[in-house]
Amino acid sequence: MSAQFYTSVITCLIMINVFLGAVSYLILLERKIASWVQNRLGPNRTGPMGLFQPLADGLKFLLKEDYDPLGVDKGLFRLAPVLALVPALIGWAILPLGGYMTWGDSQVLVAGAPINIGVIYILAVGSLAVYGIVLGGYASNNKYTFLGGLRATAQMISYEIPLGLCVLIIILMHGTARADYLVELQANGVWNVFYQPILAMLFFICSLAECNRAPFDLAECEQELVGGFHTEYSSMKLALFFLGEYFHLITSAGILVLLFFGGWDLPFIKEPIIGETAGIGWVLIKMGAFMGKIAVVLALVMVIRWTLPRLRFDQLMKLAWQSLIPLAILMLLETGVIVYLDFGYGWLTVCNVATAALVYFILPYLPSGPAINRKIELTGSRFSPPTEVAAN
Amino acid sequence: MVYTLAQSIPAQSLNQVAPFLFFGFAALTVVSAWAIVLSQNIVRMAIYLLFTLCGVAGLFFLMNAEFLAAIQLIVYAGGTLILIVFGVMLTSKDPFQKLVSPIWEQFLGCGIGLALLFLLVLAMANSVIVPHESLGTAPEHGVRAIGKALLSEYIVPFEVSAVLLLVVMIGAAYMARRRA
Repeated sequence: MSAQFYTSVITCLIMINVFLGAVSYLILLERKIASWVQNRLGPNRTGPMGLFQPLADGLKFLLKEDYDPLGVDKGLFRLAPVLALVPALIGWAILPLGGYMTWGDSQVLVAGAPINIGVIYILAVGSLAVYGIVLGGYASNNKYTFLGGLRATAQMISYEIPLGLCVLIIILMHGTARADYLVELQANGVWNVFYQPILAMLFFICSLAECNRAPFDLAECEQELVGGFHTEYSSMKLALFFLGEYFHLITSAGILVLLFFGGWDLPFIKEPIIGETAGIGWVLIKMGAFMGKIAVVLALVMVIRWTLPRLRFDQLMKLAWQSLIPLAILMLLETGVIVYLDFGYGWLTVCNVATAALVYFILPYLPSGPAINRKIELTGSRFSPPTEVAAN
Repeated sequence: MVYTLAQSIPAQSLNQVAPFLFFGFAALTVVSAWAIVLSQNIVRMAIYLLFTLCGVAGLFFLMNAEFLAAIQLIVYAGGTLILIVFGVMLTSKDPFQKLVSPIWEQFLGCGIGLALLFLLVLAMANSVIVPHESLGTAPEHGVRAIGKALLSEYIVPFEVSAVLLLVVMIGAAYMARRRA
């Protein structure tokens, strides 16, 4: 047993509890932000400023009747919330939360699992995250939930491609997939967001879609599908879905921070040279920096949820396949050329600006084909009777 | 034989926990594979298949083949989703329809399975299982080694599979095209 093993176990034990607490307060924060955006007060009755609201919510979830509706596939119906939660729970394991620490005579990384494949692991776990939604939708034996599940499937499959391309470009830039090396490279240089601003935006959009967050939350589109995939769920099973959603959100924000915003790195405040001083204090400071950045991203996500309207399904697919994927492939090409020719990374910024100029100032003026989603003439409906009937 | 395999797992890093994890993942793989055969609901079969593939990925993780494990999860476990969608949308009208194979298909399946098992046992009996200690840990840059091998030694199969995927893509686009 190595020191790294013990560090990983301790980090996991602590972080699971921190994140579980954070999730319940994220729900309160979400409601507070919603009320702020909509000019209301929000929850303010339970405790000072509504701070005990998560406790009340949790108690209510626990005390409600755990009910399986008639006609559901019982096994899968109970499995679905678990499958929604588990990938989200294991996803953050590679986040290098606290940087390096000296333990005895060896240097350890304060993270769940310092594995070599690093960010590829995120893609692997992320590809499992949709099963909970699909199974919940299928096993409920309800047409609305089923439609929600199918929508989630198409959405995940589409948005995983640009997400993977973004991660691939970052790996290509730095030549490593290890999360701690990526952070170290950014800490000693410039954060990736300054080299690849477009890519950071692409990644942010795709992770919103992967988390099923607004404006991509078509799987639980209230106007059309009642509650979407979790219509039939109640009590703790519903709570597990919510836990999974918010955990997924935290993980995605963490990965965004890790890949583009320098992970634990604080600008202008550098750790003293690693030696005797790399102790627990700096680990806590770095953890605080990482968490703070994650919190900022989460707040942005929540404001977006209450600001932007939901996309229509064809707009969703069009965005992924006609905008994000070609753009990501173009960025991959540019980055590949620059890395191969061994130019400075400053040229990446130039390329990003050029790409943005291309997208905003040139593409709209190019001639394009007819719109794919043109209006189809409905004949035989109430408002346009078929011609032969009209002739009679 | 299973215990010998368990012995071949990296000993330096996780020498006490690894055998338990190995048996856990192996049991997950085998039991779910058994359940695929016994199940009659197509979505349940797909879910059991998902568990089998995840168990195999866990075994890969235990053998320090992390990249292989991640690819197993992305390609196979992620791809099972498509299987569920096809299984639900294309095969059944009743949501919880039961699939029962005719008796001759069951015998045929048993025969093929037994033949493959025989082949596997034969291969395992003839192979030498090296304990992991003598192999050392996995190289630091396993991904890099795989990439180099794919683009130098195995370039022909790599390119052939790429062309195959291109053909599949063109075919799908052709079939899904808008008819004039």
